[in-house]
Amino acid sequence: MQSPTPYWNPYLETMPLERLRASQLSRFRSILTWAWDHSPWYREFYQAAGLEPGDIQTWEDARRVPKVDKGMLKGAQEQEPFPYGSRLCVPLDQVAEFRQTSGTTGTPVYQADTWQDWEWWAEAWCYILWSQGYRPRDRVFIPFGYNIFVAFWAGHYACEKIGCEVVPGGVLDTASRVLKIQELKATAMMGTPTYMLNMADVARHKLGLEPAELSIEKITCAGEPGASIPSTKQRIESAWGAKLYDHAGATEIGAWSYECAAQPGGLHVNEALFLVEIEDLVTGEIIDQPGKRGKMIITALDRRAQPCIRFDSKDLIEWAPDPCPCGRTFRLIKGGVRGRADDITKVKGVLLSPSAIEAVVRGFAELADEYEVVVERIGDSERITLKIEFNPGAEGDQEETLAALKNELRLKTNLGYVIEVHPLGALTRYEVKARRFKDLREGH
Amino acid sequence: MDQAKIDSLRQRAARLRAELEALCAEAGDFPAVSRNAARISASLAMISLSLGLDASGAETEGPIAN
Repeated sequence: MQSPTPYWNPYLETMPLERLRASQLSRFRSILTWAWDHSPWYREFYQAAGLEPGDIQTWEDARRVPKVDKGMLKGAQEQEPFPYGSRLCVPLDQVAEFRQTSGTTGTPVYQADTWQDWEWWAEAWCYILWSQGYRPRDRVFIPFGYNIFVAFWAGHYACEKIGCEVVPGGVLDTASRVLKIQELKATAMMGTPTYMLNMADVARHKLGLEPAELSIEKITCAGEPGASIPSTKQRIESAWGAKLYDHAGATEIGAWSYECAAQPGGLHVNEALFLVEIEDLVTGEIIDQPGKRGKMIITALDRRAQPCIRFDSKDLIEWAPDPCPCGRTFRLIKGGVRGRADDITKVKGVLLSPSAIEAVVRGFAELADEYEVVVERIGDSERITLKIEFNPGAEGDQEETLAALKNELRLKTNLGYVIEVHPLGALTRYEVKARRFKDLREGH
Repeated sequence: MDQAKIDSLRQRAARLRAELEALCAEAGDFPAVSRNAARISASLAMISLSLGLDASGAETEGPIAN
């Protein structure tokens, strides 16, 4: 019999917020004490700040706990024990899982998890998948490389815990993956937004299959903000004839948020497992009211091997003004992760977020899924080139479309662009996270 | 959700934890028992978290602070 409850955890997901908050504060103190007792790095870090775990009695106290960032994590792992360093809170023989960050900003962060931590990862993913309608009857295809990156590993384990049938689509090329979905009549899958579009493209143009006519009913995306960008979401839902749900997480943090089946235009923070604070980019004050964007400071309340306490994620988020109609009391962040504090760049004196360009480009049905943005310095001035492709049959209206595109870009980003049209298929296709924004200016 | 039901589930989880600890102690150097018990222990920790306790089964809801 299918479970009728829409909640993975009907107790915690509907708990009054003030009770959740009391539990969060208590567990914040616990994880801080755990880190102090078991990690030389954390103890020295907090001692240097003149802080002891017993000092934390109120939310005001908690907000005085110093933040950590990725650079600090990398520094800590240069100490013993290899390769995790002195942030590790358990003996090495209790480490059950190794993962690492992608290292796109330099040295990767190595992440240790005990088996309990790994169960915790899967538990967090169960909240995500159950809220999106994954049930034991689902056959879930996971087209992911199963490697050193955490990506959809925990999604796989969560599917097992829920009771879904899991099809690991590891070492297969994209066409073989599409054919396997067709062969097995898979009902759900997971991937980055980029790869979901890529798979649909391969289905149509290499295999002559219409992806919307396959059996996929729901897709869970992570790794990029696209699934919360309405124009990208609409493209993927339309291509696959399926519901698309977003999720945001990170190797150093865990799976901290999810879009539920109500698709409320935002992500629930899993407040049973994480404490999320939003910090004003200018004043550093914590923002509790809706509608004001800041960067996320996050604590994983129960992760033990390498705790994540007041981690400066640099993700830009804001609280939504209204509760979700799904009945969960976990707060919503409006529009998902809106970008990263370190992705926003100044071009011609104007702040530019790559997500804003994606939202515009993906809103033009005439344009194909891929695009690329190049920022260069030409002499004393700066130039943004947007490379695009037209969908088959849309080339006839090129001039009109290009004019409308330029106009919309100026309206939404306050900047002018040089548009380059490339033949369909000429731009790079990505299998995992895309690198569409290329800033070639010195120092960027 | 009915708090009496949560309390009852918490009590059962506590009994399971005590039984599991006794099993581990009795097993001693018996990997096929102790390693499987370690896995159950991790699952039990998730049950504790799901019932609003901490991973060790302790209460987490203290007084509501400011």
